[in-house]
Amino acid sequence: MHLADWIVIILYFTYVTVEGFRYGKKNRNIDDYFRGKRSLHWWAVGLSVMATQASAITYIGTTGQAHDAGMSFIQIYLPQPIVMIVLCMTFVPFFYRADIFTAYEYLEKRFDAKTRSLTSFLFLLSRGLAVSLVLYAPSIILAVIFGWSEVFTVIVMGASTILYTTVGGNKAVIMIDAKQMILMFAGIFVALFLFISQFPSQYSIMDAVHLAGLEGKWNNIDLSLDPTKSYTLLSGMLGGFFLALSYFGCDQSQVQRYLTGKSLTDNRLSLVFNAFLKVPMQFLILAMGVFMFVSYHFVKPPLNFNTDYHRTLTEQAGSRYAELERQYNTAFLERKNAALAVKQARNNGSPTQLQAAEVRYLQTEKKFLELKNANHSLLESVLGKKPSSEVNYIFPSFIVQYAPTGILGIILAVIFAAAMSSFSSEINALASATVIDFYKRYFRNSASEAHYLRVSRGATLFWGIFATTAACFAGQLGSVIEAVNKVGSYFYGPILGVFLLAFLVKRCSGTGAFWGLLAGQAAVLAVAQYSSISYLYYNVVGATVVLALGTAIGYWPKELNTQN
Amino acid sequence: MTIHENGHLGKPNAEKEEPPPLMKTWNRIYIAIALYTCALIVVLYVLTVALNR
Repeated sequence: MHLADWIVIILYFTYVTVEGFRYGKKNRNIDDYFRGKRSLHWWAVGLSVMATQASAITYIGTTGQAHDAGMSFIQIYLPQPIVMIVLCMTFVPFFYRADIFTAYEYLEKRFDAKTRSLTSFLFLLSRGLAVSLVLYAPSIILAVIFGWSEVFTVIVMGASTILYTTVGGNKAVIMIDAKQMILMFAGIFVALFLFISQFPSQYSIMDAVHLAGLEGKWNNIDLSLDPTKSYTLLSGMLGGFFLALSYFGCDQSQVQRYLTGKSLTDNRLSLVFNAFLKVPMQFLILAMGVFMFVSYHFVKPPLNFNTDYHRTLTEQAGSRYAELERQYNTAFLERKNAALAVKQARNNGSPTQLQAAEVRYLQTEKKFLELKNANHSLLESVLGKKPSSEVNYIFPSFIVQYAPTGILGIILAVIFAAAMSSFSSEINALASATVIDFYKRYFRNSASEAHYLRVSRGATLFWGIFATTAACFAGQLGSVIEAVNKVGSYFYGPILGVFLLAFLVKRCSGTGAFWGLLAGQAAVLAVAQYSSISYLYYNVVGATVVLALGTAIGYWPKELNTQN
Repeated sequence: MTIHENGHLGKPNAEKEEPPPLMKTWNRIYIAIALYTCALIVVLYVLTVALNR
């Protein structure tokens, strides 16, 4: 890293902190603090919705995933425009007219206090456990690639975000998110330019597209009906639909964005904005990974992207690893020449020559992958366990080696922006649910606005410090973190089911919603434990069970139902 | 579609909503989004078939 890179990063952190204080001066009550006094324009809310969803791992991990497995992940995002329609027609107008602070607040109006409290508690549990990962995940990558301390990176990101979120409130979060999202968009094009600039002279974008196609990277749509396959059009449209509807409709970190629009029209337009922009944005991020894959034909990728693994193998399997690297270097050169020969054959226009060149290329690629697998096996034998995936290290590894001075700083600022925009929205949402659904509801339901504002800032500070501290220790928890991540994804479907019951089933009471929610949760855990279906279908199972049981209880004899 | 006081959906009522700044009605915008989604899927499928070997 050079001085110019550090200047870019310092300028970024200074800007977000100053902005937080600027907005914080105007907060007088919790309507200011949690809803920005409902004064925000659609474009700011729309960009904040997008920035909240796109974390650093979206940016880094999705790129790495596309490098390895192609574009198939795009299918999860395809139902999101349809989800935006559903939200604009139902959740958004209702939440706006109900004049609420949290999504769960209205469940008490519709059902009863216990349903509201249970749903809000599940949100606090799932989001509270997962929020630390937003900071931890990019920190381990930056630590491995740049040699920075994980704790230092976590504390820098966490402290800055806690500061501007605690002081500034939701309006600061949204306005800063909006600018961070613009930076992220710019970062996509900067990264694409960086990858393409590594191509040899005369090697065009269409040559790159053709080469990636030989490896099946343009697997945007898979029409398979196999329910155990993770990313297909079916799992995307069905499972992805329920996942997105639950996330955007029932997760307070998103609902709180569109509670702040200055009118119902602005709230709807913010989601219409997402409907049109989200899929193309994700396509570009995945395409970054595909072009990075092609770039790595002409600049040598390391045998191990995770430098910790490289160090381990050098120290503990020196001669075997050195021989593997020698063969890998040879295989890389053969693959590079074969890729250039494919380009040459395309230029010559001879189908026979092109076919022969493509066959030769695929043979060199197969040899290259065999050596990667041999490295994986060697690593497993040295570590005594399966090595973790390197997919999150591929993109940072590329930029640290090939990004010019200044550009590296911009891309790092983008990674920080992606992490911090998600983190700020989540701790602000956790604070709002804590204060509105529990503190104000059960402990102190009449106090001055100044008191609630102080408590709200305190709650934001608490969740921020909790998440940052957990992120500092996350490395020692190993597989617990993996378990936490999976558990977090189990809650979306049942919570969505409760909201669908509320909207669609007139006869459903609080009893039906409450027991339906518990049954839905149990069903998801059972499916996760005893079946091998893709995790995307968990949301469908959870929502369906809640809807079915809640509806059934609603039609039971009256004496078995209790109304609040 | 309207939302009743106790939170469930019901039949449309006569309450007038503010129209969107484009396309005059929200239903037209929703139809445009739905058509856009279909077009995205078709384009992505065509790219898959055309570019993958």
